Amino acid sequence: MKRTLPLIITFIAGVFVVVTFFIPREPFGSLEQRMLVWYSILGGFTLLLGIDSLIKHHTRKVARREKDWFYSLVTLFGLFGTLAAGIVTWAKYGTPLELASLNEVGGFFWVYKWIMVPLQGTMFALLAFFIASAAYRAFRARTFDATLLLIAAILVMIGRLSMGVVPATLILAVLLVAAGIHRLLIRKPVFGAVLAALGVGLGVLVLAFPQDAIRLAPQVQEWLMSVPQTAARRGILIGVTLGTIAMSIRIILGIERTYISST
Amino acid sequence: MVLAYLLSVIFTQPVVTMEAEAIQPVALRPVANLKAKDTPNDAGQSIDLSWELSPDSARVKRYEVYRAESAKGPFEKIVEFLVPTTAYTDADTLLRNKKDYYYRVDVVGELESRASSEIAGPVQAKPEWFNTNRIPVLVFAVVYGLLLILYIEFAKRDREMFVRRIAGLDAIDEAVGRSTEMGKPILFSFGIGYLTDVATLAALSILRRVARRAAEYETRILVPNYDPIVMTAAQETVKQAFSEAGRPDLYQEGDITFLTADQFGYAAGVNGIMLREKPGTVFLQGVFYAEALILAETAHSVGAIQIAGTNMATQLPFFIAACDYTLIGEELFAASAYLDRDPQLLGSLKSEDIAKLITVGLIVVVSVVGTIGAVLTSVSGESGILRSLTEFFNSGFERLVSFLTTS
Repeated sequence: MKRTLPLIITFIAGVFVVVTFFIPREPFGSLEQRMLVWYSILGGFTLLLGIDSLIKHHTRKVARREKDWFYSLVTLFGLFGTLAAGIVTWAKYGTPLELASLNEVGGFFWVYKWIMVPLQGTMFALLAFFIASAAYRAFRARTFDATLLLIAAILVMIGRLSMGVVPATLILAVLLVAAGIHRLLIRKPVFGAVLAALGVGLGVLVLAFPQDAIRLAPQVQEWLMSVPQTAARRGILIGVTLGTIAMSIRIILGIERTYISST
Repeated sequence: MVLAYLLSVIFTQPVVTMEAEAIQPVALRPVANLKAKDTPNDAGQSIDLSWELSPDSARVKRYEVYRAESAKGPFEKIVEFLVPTTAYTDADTLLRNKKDYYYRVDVVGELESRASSEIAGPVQAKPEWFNTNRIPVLVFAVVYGLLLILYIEFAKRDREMFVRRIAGLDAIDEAVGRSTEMGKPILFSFGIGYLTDVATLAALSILRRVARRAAEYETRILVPNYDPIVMTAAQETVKQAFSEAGRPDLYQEGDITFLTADQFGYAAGVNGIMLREKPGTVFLQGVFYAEALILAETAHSVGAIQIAGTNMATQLPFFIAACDYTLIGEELFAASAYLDRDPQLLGSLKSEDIAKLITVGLIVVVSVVGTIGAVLTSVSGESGILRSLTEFFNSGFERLVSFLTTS
């Protein structure tokens, strides 16, 4: 019964939402939105569960002086400090969401503006460095696929770089020749020769026909982005959409049950 | 004296004429063909209006739309437009269903000269029982539902179902084993999805498999969460997996915790756990946004094997670049069928493939019809068979595109 009841509720709720999708008349038309509101209300209550878990976990670590307990202390200080700031602002203005607290040290919005926002910004800014390191690993021409990826990425960059097509292409040519020589040195003669020939050919072409290169580079970049890139992206999106529908039907019909506990 | 009179006549006459012209408002012609009808496929309380611009639209300063409950008025202005407009949907919340309304559109020119259109009405707003715009969706859902039932029946009759290998799912056992050998924990992240996200539900089935193996190998599994509801579901899933593996004693609720409901706070928290605990394997399964690469690169920096999977097309390139294995979109949704090998789940997976085949077939048909239409447009004349064929292909293309985009 513990397992059957949730499946029955899921089936009824799922079928009901699917049917109301085709009925614009009230109260059916807005039912999906209303259910999302209910979910948000339930979510608000479950936040208590989350806070309970957080406090228990970190209090235990601090109490037992477990490894890295100091970070847990910082977390608890942040949690209760923000709570205190909210209560103080609430007591003063009748609401914790008073904008005037933005300029008061220890106010609720002050905490948000001067602690939360810079911390979030710092984490987001780190992304630039992570992109650079991931790109370096992804674009190393170790395999044929990675080489294709590298060439496509460089062509797109050449088409978009403000430094100019000719210098950018020459840099690419030098890089390809260097990669080719490296492959030759590690005893991959065919792959190395292809890369080096590609680099030399590209360099010669751009020096021989600079005007054509300037004209063609943005077109190549545009084609890569609008044809192969869009086609691959749409293929993934169609797969994701069908997968989502299939998964939803499996859940509604009770075929997919892995998310329900039987204990 | 005479000269003075003549001069005054010559110089004052034109000025008087210009002033007279400026004072006289120029008559405007009203908008034509005003139509009012109930907005189709809606919940009611909405009426669509359309009209043709006034022939004097160049001199019109604004268009005013009026509504009344009687043809005799009084008319109340409901909206005005300062640019030429030919349609408006009156979705006023005060509008009542099944009640007669009358509409009029005025054009207003210089010196507030105005011309009123003919009155349109009576018209009633009505709620609909069926949204006909969604017929293609219904057709698709019915076809897909039938395919699903058909293939589940095939699967029940023990028909052989081929499912191609999914490297990311095959590597789960190996990845858990690696963590065990290294004596390091496993970290599993759902990203910042909620339990209403299908990707999170799919990730739960992967967590179950991972947790079961972890229990068998006696390896610790850490699941930091962004959403408390997902945390509760994850706790239940891991608990059940540990019980199934016969090791409920190893289950530790404290390892499946809530971190924060802030995106970058969550990323910072998971990064901190990775750097402190140095997991041997990191699973990133579910819904990810900008934090995807931050997590994947940090996992790489601590030497963890990473198996990622998401339905977010924008984050997939990052996972592919940074992780050892990536479940691309639908592969994530296929996880439970692939791992459990349950005939019903495999049948549904097969029906998904057939639906995809039909979609691809439709796209090919649309492309061919569109291309033929475009080629014929460039070569056909004003009349003849070629012209008819061109129209046939072009209209067919438009209908197919409309059907596909609505679906």
